[in-house]
Amino acid sequence: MGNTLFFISLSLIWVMLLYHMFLMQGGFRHYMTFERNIPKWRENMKELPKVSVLIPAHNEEVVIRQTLKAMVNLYYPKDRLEIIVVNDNSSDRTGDIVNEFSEKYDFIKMVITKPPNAGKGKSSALNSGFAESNGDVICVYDADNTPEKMAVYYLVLGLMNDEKAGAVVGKFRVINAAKTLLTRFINIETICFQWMAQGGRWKWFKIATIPGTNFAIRRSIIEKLGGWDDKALAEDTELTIRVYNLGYHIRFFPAAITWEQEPETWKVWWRQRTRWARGNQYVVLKFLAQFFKLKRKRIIFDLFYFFFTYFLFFFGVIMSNAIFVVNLFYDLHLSVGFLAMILWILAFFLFMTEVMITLSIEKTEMNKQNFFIVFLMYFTYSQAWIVLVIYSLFVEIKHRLFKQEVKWYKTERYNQHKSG
Amino acid sequence: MKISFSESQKLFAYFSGLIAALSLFIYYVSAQQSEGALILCITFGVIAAGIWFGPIYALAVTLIVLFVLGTLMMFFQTGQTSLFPAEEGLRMLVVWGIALLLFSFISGRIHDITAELRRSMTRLQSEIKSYVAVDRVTGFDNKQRMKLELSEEIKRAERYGNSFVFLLLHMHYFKEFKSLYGEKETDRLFQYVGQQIRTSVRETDKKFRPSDERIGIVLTHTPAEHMPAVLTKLKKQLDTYQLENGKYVSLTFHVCYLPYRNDIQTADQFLEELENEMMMNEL
Repeated sequence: MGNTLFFISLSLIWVMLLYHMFLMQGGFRHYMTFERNIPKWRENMKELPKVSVLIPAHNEEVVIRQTLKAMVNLYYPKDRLEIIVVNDNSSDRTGDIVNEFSEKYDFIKMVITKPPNAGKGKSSALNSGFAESNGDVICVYDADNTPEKMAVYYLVLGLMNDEKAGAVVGKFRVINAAKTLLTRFINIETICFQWMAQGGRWKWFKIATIPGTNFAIRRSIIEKLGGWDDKALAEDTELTIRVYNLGYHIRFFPAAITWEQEPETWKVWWRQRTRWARGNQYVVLKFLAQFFKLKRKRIIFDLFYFFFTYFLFFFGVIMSNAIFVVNLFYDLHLSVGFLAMILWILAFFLFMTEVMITLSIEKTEMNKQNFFIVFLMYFTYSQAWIVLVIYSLFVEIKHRLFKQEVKWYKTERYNQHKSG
Repeated sequence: MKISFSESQKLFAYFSGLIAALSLFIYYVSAQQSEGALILCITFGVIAAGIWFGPIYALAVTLIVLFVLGTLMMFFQTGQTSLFPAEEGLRMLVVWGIALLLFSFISGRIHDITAELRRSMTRLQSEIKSYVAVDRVTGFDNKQRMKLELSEEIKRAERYGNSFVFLLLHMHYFKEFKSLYGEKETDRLFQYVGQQIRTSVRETDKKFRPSDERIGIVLTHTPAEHMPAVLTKLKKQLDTYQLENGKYVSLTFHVCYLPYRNDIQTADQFLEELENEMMMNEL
């Protein structure tokens, strides 16, 4: 019995590694090919649509000025662009700063959320902003983002040249990567996420997940869907599934780049990632419950991916760890102990290799420093994720059992000029 | 004090490191295993892939080797009977795993540095070319001259309050034209474009060819209100082109212009702003 369970859990981990190898290859192929369409698409796009950029902001005085400067510098005709900052119950100088910009530039405006929607979180703020917008294409940026000059143009370019695309998502990079060891870990994690999960799934299955920022979506879709789900903690993943269910796909177009801040302390990281993990668990459970009602079976891949990541893979890891620990105190007569040791070593090397390949795609990131950080990451950051997912699952179950209200935790921001 | 090394010094260091690490690894493997020859062959394959194709390919080979090895073990290993003898095999696996990663990294770096050296040589060659300030086909000044002239014009406008407009024309389908009709016909086309532009604007206006498909014109002492007239004239002059074989082709351009503004202080800022304006205006 012990042997069988152990073997099952090892196989699950091995299958997950194989799946990521497969994704990584797709990501690499996408990296090699995604720019080829740009010249042709530029020629095709004679008329640029009206674009509304929504920026939900709750107490963002530290970062909003930088974000709005980046918006002013966007390569997009300003008569076809409107920037809407949704001031969601801010008690700091966010509103004053936005007003400064809106007085100077007529394409920037501020929407203030009103009770009962004020301070309810990002989905609610986005719905308020959307109600005041009039663009044919809606772009969303977090308030800590610095999009590159061409970001919005490329998002729109991708959307206008692919009629089956309901949304186009760009790439995000970490602006404070060099700040702490944690931000270095996150930098590596985000690069892997972009090229494996986003690039790989797009190349093989035409699937990508809408991230919380740097994406463009058709207005008609948001109208059809009735806006963002304000009960979802991961409103982006939730929206992804509903967009696919309408019959559209979501294109990953890494030419559109934004730079965003990541948590610099473990406390902030823990809170933010708990929200993500809980949000994704909510989405998987919500849509698995309606599995047979879903019209588009392609999203099974996406649900499968999340189900595997948050449930099966962790089941495998936890099971193998548990059996290993039990076996230390009580002999389970395991005959796969030596094999497990070898597989563990190989799994570690596979992790290192996969991450290094993905880093090599982002040219400057495969350096000596990151070589050692990836090594360290396996034993620290990756293990912290295991604990975090278990904790999130516990909180999510508790939340459901006691029917608690969804509480949005806002990620703390940092002043990049002061902090370097 | 931070010590920095040149690319060729780095290349030498990586090569030396690779040779030293490889010698140690060969010594270790040959003393340990009967499968040593196979291990060495695969390792050499990884290094070759890294040097020849780059780090991604070396790492990809490593990935496949490790995964296949693990999968085979999972399916064929029963009980304590192992493909490797227990402890020795485990140590070998760890050393080999580390070696593969290290060799992938070093060989990949060697590839990248060599590629960078090659790129910088090409860059230098093109910089030497750019010292020739005049475009041989149109007779217009090149990009470097354009920046210098623009910078001077900005300073003059600041000091004396002159107005000027910078006009940029970007020819559509340049590459397609070149691949369809060849180098000679393309030169002929640009000689024609150059002549037409000369007849459309004043002799005192400064004309440039900053890149193959672009023409820039600094219209001195010109307010922005005059631009519609200038554009109409240019459109008329640059509407069609007669090929050497007598047939006609239509010419279309992206066009944008930017009048001098006192908040723009350098030629680079001016050109950046101009790129922003490079939108949608069909001539």
